[in-house]
Amino acid sequence: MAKIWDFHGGIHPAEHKDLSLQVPLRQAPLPAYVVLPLQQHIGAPARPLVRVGDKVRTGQKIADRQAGISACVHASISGTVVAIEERPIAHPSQMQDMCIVIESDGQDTWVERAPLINWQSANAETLLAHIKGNGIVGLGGAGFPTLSKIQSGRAHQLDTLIINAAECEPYITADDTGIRHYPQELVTGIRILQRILQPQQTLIGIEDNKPDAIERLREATIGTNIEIRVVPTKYPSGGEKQLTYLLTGREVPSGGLPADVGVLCQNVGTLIAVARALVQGEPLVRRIVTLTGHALAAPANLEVRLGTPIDALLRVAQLDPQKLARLILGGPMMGFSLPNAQVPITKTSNCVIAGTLQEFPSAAPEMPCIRCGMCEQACPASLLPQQLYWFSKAKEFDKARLYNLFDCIECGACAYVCPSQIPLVQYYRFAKGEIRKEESEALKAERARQRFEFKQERQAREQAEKAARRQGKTASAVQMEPSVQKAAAPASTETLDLKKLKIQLAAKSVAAKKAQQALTQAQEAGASAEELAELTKTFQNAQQEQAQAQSAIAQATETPTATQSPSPDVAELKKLKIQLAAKSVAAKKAQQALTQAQEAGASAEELAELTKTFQNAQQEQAQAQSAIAQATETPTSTQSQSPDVAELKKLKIQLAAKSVAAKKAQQALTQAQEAGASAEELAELTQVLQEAQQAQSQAQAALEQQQVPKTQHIQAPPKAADAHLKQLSVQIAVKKVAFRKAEQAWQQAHSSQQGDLDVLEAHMLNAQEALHKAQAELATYQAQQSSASNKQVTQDGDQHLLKKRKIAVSVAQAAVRSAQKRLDNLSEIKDTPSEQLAAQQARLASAQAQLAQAQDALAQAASTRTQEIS
Amino acid sequence: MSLLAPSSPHAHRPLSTSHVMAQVSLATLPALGVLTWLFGWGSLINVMLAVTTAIFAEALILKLRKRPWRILMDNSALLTGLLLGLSITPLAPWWLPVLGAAVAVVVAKQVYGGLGQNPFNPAMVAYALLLVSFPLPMSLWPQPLSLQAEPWTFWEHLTHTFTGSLHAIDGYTGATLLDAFKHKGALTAEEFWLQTPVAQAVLNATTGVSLAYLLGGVYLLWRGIISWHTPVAVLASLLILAAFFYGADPSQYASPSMHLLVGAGIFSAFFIATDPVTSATSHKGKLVYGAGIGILVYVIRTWGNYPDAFAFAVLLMNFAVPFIDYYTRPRTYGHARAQRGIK
Ligand code: SF4
Ligand code: SF4
Repeated sequence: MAKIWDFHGGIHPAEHKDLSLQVPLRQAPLPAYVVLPLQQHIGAPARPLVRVGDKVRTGQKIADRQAGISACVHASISGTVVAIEERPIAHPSQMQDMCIVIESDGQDTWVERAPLINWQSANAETLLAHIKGNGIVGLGGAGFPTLSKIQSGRAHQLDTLIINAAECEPYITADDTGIRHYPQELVTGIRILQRILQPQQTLIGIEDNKPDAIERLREATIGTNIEIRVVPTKYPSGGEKQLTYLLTGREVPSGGLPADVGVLCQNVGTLIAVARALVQGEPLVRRIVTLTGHALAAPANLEVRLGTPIDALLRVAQLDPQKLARLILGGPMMGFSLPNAQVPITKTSNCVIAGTLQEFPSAAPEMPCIRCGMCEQACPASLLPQQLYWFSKAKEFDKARLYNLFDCIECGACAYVCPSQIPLVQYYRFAKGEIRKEESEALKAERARQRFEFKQERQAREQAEKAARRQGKTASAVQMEPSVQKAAAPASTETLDLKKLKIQLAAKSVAAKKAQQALTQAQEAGASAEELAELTKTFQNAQQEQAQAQSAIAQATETPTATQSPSPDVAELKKLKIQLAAKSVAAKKAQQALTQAQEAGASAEELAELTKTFQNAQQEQAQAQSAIAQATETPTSTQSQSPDVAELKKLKIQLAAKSVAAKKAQQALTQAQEAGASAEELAELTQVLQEAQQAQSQAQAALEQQQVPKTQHIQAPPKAADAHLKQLSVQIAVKKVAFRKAEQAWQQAHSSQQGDLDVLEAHMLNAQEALHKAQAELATYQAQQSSASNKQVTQDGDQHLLKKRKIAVSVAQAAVRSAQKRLDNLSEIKDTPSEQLAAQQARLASAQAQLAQAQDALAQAASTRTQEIS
Repeated sequence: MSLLAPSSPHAHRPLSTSHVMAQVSLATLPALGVLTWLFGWGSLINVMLAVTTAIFAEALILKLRKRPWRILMDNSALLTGLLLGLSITPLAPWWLPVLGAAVAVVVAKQVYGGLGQNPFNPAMVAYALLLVSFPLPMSLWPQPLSLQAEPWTFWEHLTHTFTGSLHAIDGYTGATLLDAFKHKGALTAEEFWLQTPVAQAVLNATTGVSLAYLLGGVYLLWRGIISWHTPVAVLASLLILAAFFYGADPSQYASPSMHLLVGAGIFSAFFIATDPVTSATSHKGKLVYGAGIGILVYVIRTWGNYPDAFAFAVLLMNFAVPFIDYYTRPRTYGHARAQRGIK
């Protein structure tokens, strides 16, 4: 007899299993209609393939899986699709979800089945494709798509396949019945999985309270390498982590999966479904459901078509509504109670308990905890439920977390034994929910911050580009005045810029290399999928930045010659082309990342994130393309035109691009709304839309401003300085609009108490800051202008440089200050991940370095100037 | 159809706090019977006085604190009074159990916020207070009935309790046997037993009481009301120390069996140290906590000033419980090692 590792704790609640075992398994009568939720599994909901009015046959695929973690849905009866709409589903939060409703034609006509003839010789990919195509998910608990589970298992070094037949919850006998009625199918299912996974050992874990099922299994597994391990009856031996320990002595690491210790668990019902799908070509359209409880006159196990309303089943089991006090879906320990029976059976519904008041008396009043420690003795996770309870109650969530709240499997053993009748699990759920909420808020704020910083960076970049362009123009203008040329030549700004860019490139390359190293290390150390995704993202960002830096250098090296050449448009065109190339690379990379994530079975959220990145990249690419197209159209004409006209064109192009972006965002939002996206996603999209709209209006404002001065320009030929002044004022106008909008949004949110106030506030403050900066810049520039006009032209260049350096210093100072502030904020928030802190520290350091650089440059310029003056 | 939808788990073990308290109370009854049988009505009268006072005091405080009445049904006041009444000498005047029970419930429990909030064992707080304040009446134990020529009737005893005016009985005034042993002076253990023939009878009687407590303790273990960790740790550490010193010098130190059977050893190990509220939580913690009590008891008994030391040992270890709890957290499933200490 193989060793059984007993786990800590556990309880022995009254079993009540024989209630539903008095009669053999039978088929439930065909329902008049079925309600098939699009999401009966963990992951992304399936996408409907049918429309209202369509005729469908049993087994027809009516909703297709999405990429990543998802599963398809098949019609469980033949008939007509009468609705695709939100219907109440069986869910603890009593929510509604999109469902396909099929009215039966009473015929149960099947589609042509497509079994896999000779699965014994098929390769793993073919087998997996069939599992995928038949919509199979874990029938035991949460409904994790079987394909994804196997795939993630294959990514690990698996040596053990465990078949979970423990069925430790009281009342439920669905797996027991499945084993006794379909032992051959079960064994076939196991062998299919063995073929895919090639495990060294295959163990069936079953509790010793099912002697019949054990006997059947013994008979069916003769001549196979499947071992049956009978474990003592103790709740919750059927928990994945507990069963893994019981059979192998290995503990699934906290936050990990059984696959991390080389184990994959599959439930009995799932394997029977796999066998049916492959051997008989029958997609997942039915399952065994235990109907039990003392309010039923005829409790039984029924083979039920998915989507059958529970009240129809209760009628079959002869419910006495007078007696019914509590309706539970699942077991009495972990199942949830239903307020009514008008919800459908789904892939994960294994048991319906119609309980009387005697069976489930209403909860006794909660008494004070007497620290008896019974909860601790019952906890299968070796937690201290009592302490968790105190912390949850006192809302000391960080302490609860420290006491490993998230290792609680919510088995309910502690609450079962608590003599003070404290609903412990409820406290844990509350605490977990609060912690998750806090986390997601922090994450949202962080994302918003990142987005904002990115925007700021982009704006700064654009500004810098503009400035460079302007300088190029002034430089060419200055060329005509030989005296100035002499002064400017020794300190050629271009070479300086180039140097800076090269330094930047080096820094970025180092960062990219480091990110790659971190990623490799994490992979070797077996980090969690989430962590890996995070690191991958960091790495990609670093790569992208490196690429950007490279292209900037390329640009810079090209500009000197370009500026000398008479036609600025050619240079412009080149720049645009380089940009396009960079954008294409970025888009390609984003696509790759997305595909990889899909294959690796990333979470829906991550996928959405990546998809968005990809779309953004695509969009930017398209924008760059259209810009080029516009630029190439006008090269000859622009030459003759004044610079303002060129500017105007550019602005027009920008406006067009922004409008396109806004339209796209709007479309995405509408689509998401139709597809019934989550509130969070919708909010996200709405925000994107608003940003796009804002950008559009900004572009418009800029265009209008540009058009007004243009008429003036024609009357009075412009000076370069004037142009700069104007630009600055335009910027201020734009910033003002942005600030006002942010303010409005905040006020609205504030008065309606809706939306993310913190984020909006941050937006507003940032906009304000940007506005102030722009104003300051204008002021300095004006001061500089007025003083400059009094001085000699020879000094003008140096003076200009000096001023610029000064501005640079003050900007760098501001950057340092804000970085410092952010760091302070971060470190004030408890539980800020240390990486985040470190990242912010690094940011501060780099800002400081830049400040030092700027100061150096200023000192240099100042000394040159004094030398020259003397 | 619309039903209530309470959350899981839906099943609950039919065992409540009041049930636990009632079971513990029940388990003391054999010992109460034996005490009454061997030492007269005193213990029974003590228990009645203490229990009545405790329940009355609890009710009063609940009313003052505007707490629901049902809290009274948790039986915890009953148990506190019972334990205190059992530990006080049968010759006690009426105000000893009454004062003690009031202190236990009001000061040691309700002042801290009621059941579950008190860091110290209420019965032991009261006992220690009485012992320190009234050492004489507290340590006056009667001889076993078998040695008394003319045992009191219930009414006689009751009169004594309330008036103290009745004729004296042949009180065994040397306090407990342990105390007598400690103050045996230059005598060796052998000589002590020869010198005091009464001691043999007392030894037999207290052994009987201890065995009755053991019976109750085993019952609690069997019913799963207490876990074995605390009593076993208490008794084992006490016995090991006693055996060590007895082995080193049997003439000077009391034998392990005497430490076990005389005095409040078994009573405290099963009924006092196992008080859920004031003991350590984890199994490992309970072992540490129990061992601490056993060691302290031996030390105080042998070298301290008090004849029996359970109240002090338990209170001292109550102090240490938060500390013990911090350092004996179990290793959670899936974690490489247990977290220790305060973070
Ligand atoms: S619900 Fe959580 S704390 Fe309670 S016994 Fe189960 S795992 Fe332990
Ligand atoms: S079982 Fe209940 S009363 Fe006992 S320690 Fe745990 S929470 Fe407190």
